[in-house]
Parts: sequence; structure tokens; C-alpha cells
Amino acid sequence: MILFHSTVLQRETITPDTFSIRLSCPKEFLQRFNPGQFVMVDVAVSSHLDPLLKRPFSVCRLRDDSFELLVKAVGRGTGILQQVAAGTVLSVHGPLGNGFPLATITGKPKIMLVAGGIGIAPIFSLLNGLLASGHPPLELIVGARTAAELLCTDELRKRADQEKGLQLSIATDDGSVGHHGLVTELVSWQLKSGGEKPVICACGPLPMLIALGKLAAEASCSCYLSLESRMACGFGVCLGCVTRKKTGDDRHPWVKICQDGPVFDAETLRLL
Amino acid sequence: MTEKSMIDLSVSLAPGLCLKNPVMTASGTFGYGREYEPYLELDQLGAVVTKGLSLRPKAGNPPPRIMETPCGMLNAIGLENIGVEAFLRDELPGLKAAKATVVVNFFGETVDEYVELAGILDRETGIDALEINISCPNVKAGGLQFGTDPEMAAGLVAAVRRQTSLPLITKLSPNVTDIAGMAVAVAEAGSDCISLINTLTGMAVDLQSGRPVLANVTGGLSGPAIKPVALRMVYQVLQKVKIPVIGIGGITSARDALEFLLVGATAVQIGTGNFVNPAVAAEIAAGIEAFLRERSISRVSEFIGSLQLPESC
Repeated sequence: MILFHSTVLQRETITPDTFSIRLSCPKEFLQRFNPGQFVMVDVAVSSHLDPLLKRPFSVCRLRDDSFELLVKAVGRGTGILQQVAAGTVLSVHGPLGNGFPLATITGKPKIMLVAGGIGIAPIFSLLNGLLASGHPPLELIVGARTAAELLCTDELRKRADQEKGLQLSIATDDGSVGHHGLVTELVSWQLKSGGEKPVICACGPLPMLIALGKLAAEASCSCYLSLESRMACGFGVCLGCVTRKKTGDDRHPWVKICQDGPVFDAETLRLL
Repeated sequence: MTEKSMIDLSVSLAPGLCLKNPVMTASGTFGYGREYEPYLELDQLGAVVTKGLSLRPKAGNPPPRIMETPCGMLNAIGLENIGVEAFLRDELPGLKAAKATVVVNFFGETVDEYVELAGILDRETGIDALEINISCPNVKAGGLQFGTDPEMAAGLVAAVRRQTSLPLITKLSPNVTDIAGMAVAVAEAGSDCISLINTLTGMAVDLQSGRPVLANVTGGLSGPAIKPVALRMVYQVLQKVKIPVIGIGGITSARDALEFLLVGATAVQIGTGNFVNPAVAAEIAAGIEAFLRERSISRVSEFIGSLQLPESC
């Protein structure tokens, strides 16, 4: 993990409340990065130390000299980034945490990638990593509330057309495109349809991740979940982002999402 | 090019506790020190103050534990820590290897627990001082009780004093009506110096859910928002005690640190600022040196306490 000053190279509106932002970075950042890792980004653009804390974001894509975030504006920090001008210099810390275990998942007969809403960000970087390095058959399942809120779908469709081993399914809550319902229903059907047992890699809202963890356990599949949390530091010292582990005792009940995750084997967590 | 003149940044906090510069880290914001090794050299700091330690490991509070507030943050971690056994086995050797000056912050729920822990730490080599935490607002037992009653605080400090010959720092809570009275009580009980302030109790609520944001309901406020309160309390304490005072509260730059030194703090601790910029403590030490050089002040001790008060004070 490195601390560096990063220039905003581009900011692009995707939907009314989501945007992508491309940030310059040193080569070392690109070399160290694993899909699923995150960065802490300074959002005190116009007023020093206000907002005080950096914000955690999953990296969506690497470029030659930069990386891209896909961000949903949900509060003050993301609202500031949504307005930030190209050329602005921000302090960035990363890559942080542990990404998806690439060696483990590429050794499985099939990989199922599942993304809900803005959860597509780390899944997109994982997909790119897998496509670049050779992979078993890939099943990509993405969902959102409505067609208008689906992210990256044009690009995902293009990838699915180009890549023989990649199959794309879409679900929307309102049925405006793809399956009318939840991504977890698609996952459930796939798991019940027989064939090779996939490894599941997912990011999305917590209820979706909890449901996927259960489905995977029932089907005896490995399942890796990327969690999110408020965090003050991002590197394991503030202890603000803990979540309960399955095997913990009264004195050691937690894992840190920033440092032990943000990607966890679902088996090791007690979500809820 | 002429060699830069040497600036003497060293400060003395107690007999046997001389820091190479006045910049320390605040307990609970610096882990056990080694987490920061990718960002700075631990031996560049005046001292590393480790995460509050108890006799046995402590789980702390359930999440949500933190919330950002204007120019600050609330936390209710609840003194989660690995316990003294794991600290001595897994963490202290690395701190020693890094040649850090090590101050161990510790706490208990009873006087006996504080005393037992002080005794264990006293027997170790590689610990340069102890900081007694009598001021955590986020735990139900112990901690803050000792921090709000001068008699209880004095009794605790005296009991710990009998148990150890290590330099003793007592960390005070700002959540009292008479901070100077607390300081006098612990100074008379044998504390070598005083550090202040710990966090101010605060609260955040969520209009959407109609609930408190923190699972613990209340938390401790830190960050730049509390700096004026901390400066005022350091000033008030220095009117009443002769022992060295360590200023803590919202320091994120060399200028902030210098303000505390100007008021009379012998050293400072950097807390929440470490989260925002993990290299900030080393940057602040360098910034203090640059400021003194610019002013042609050869020793930081000449600057400490040089505040000019209006005549009416």
C-alpha cells in the first residue's frame, strides 16, 4: 500500500446518481493491485480536512497510468467526488486489503460472478483480471432495481459476445430488463441445474450477500464475498469496520473488513 | 553549501524519559505501532503510545463503531485489544527492533487490575513509560469512573505508582467540570506527567432510521473539531501543575502541534490525524524543526510555554 497524490483525469456521469472517476497512479500501484482491493480517497477538495476522513472505494478497472472507480453518490463525500473537476489533485492510499483469491478460484471448474447495483465495481475488475489471465467457464450475473440503474451492461454484453467462455445474465427488480426478480433467484436456479459446482464471487447489498452465502453453503460451493463498511483508516488501526466471524469467541469475535477483507470466504463470517 | 544547523528537539517528560522530539502518537490511533512501518520510521517519533491494553483480550463494542462528524469523528470502539500476554509476545519485540520509544497505555476495571497489569509491564524490558488510561468514555466499567472523580483518580495513580518505577503518564478525560482539579489530584498522587485530552463524549442519530448511529449510542469525539477545547484545557492545567503536560486533541499539522507547545505542552500526541495520513506524525516532527529553524530557535524547549498573555491574565 502506498500513499500518493493523484490527479483526477476524467469524471463521467453514468446514471443520475452514479459516475466513474479516473485517477492517476504510480506504476507501483498497478503492479501491486489485485482485483477486489480498494483505495482510500481524500474528498476534502475545497476545504482542508473537511470532510475529515478519506473514503473507501473498490477499484473498478486499471488503465496504463491510472485506475477507475465506479461510485454511487450516497452522502457528502461521494457527492463531492461527483462534482470534482478534472485536474483536481487528491490524496490516495492503496491498494488496500485483500482481493479475490485468484489462484484458488481459477483452479475451480466454473466461476460464477454475481453483482448487485454498485457492487459491479470490484466484480468488473475481477472479470477483467480473469479474462486477461485465462480462466474456467465464467457465468456473470448482474442485477439492479431497474434497467436504468444497471451499470456497465453495454461493455459486459460486448465481452460476453467476444468471449466464448463467458455467459451473461441480467436481473432487475422491476423486470424492465432480463429476469424479473433478484440475482439470487438466477443463482439458485443455476446451482440446482446440476453440472460443475461453481465458485461464487460476489459484491452487492448485504441482504444479497447473506442470501448468496446461504445458497453456496446449501450447494457446498465456495463463495467469496466483498463487503463494505464505513472506515476511518482503511489499514487496520481504527477498528471501526469490524464484522463478526463464524468461529470467534467472546474475546475475539471480529474480523476487520479493511484488513482481513474486504473479500472474505463466506464460510468464515457470521453475517447477521 | 553549509550544513544545516542542528535544532535540539529533545524534551524531557520525566527522569529517565527523554524524547528525541515532542511528537508522540495517541493511544488507540496507532495500533501497536508496527502497522505504520510502511509509512514512517518509528524511531523518528518522540514516542509510540500503543493501543490501550488490559490484562485479558477485550472484544470491544459491536458495530457500527464510528461516524464522521463535521471536522471530526465519533468512535465507540470500546477498548478492543489483544491483551497483555499477546502484546508482550507478538508486538513488543517488533517495537524494540524498530528502536521505538515505547509508551504502553493500559487500563483495568478495578484498582487491582490496574495494579496487576502495571506490575507485569514493569518487569518487561523495552517499555519506556506507562500511560494510565482513566478516561475512556466508551466502556461501562472502570475507565471513565476513575477519570471523573479526583479522589478515585488519585487513589488509582498512587496504587500504580507503588507498583512500578517506570515513568507514569496519566491521561485525563475532558468530560469533567474541573480539569485542573483532576490534574492536581493525579500530580500529587505521583504521576510524572499528564496527557490530555481524551475524546469528548458525543452522539449522532440517523433521521432515516430514527436510531442512534453508533451501536453504543454515544461515542467519543476526536479530530480538529476538538482542538480549541484541548488547547484551553492544556492551558488551564498548566496554571495549576508543575509537571510536564502532553497536549492531545485534533492535531493534524506542525502548526497545530506548535500551538500546543506555545501554550506550554512539553509534547503532543497525534491521534485521528494518523487515520487520514499515516505519515503525518513524522511530517509534524519535521515541520516543527523547520519552523524553529526559520525562527532561529535552536532548542524546542525555548519555544515551549512562550505564550504571551495579556497583562490582565
